[in-house]
Amino acid sequence: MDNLEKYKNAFKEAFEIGDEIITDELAYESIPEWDSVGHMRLMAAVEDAFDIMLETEDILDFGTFGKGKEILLKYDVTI
Amino acid sequence: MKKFENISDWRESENDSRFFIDSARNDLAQFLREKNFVFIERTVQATIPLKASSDFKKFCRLPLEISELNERICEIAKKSFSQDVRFFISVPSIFSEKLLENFLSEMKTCYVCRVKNEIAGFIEVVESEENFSAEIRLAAVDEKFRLSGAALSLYAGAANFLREKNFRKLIGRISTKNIPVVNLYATLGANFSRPYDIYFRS
Repeated sequence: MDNLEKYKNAFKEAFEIGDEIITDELAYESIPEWDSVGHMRLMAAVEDAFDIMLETEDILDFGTFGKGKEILLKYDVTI
Repeated sequence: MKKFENISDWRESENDSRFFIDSARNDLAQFLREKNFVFIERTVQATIPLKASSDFKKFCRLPLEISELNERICEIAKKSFSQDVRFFISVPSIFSEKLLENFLSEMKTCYVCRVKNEIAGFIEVVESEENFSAEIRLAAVDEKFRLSGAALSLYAGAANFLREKNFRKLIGRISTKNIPVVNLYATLGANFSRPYDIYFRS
């Protein structure tokens, strides 16, 4: 499984959504599942997927699917 | 805010402008509507059982510390509760702010968590040793830190501290309109009970 698949799976697992709504523009509060609690589920899923520990500042900035990809570069995860 | 329980008690209550009633009491709801009260919202009691097997620590990304009431906590509270039915009368006003200030002034201590050394949020818990339960009196997170995990850290952290002191339940009363908070309690294993409906005089 490549990194993009792992990344998408983290979103699917956290929010129980399908591939069809996952785009770079998918954002916090754009779907009901992505509220503040859902956000922490997503962070846990991303951390588990890539075996990393996100810093608080990055958790705060992780507002869209696309932004998340940029943030993960800091952790040597290229998507 | 008073609980309205019997129509026969109306005479002593008829000058009040706000009530809550048991949601199952359609008779009281009908009676209040006839008296020009409007339904505002439904609240429920959320009870987090503090079981030995619950892993609250996994939700605690931010450490908690004990704090007394300070300006920063008041600032967060004023931004968060300006339209909360406990303090909001009909329009935001100096009276609502005064109600909130009076409520805050009764705070003894609370738990806070920080992001970049700034208080991100707080939770005030009132312990009842005779029932081995504690009640969340007030809790809020500054909007700019809503994605930081502060809310989960505060609630889970408080639950963990109370469990270590052998408390059995952490109780809150929440609006059913506030889905993120409902989800937060559900994440911590809460069950929901005692729905009450709030009515304001129109």
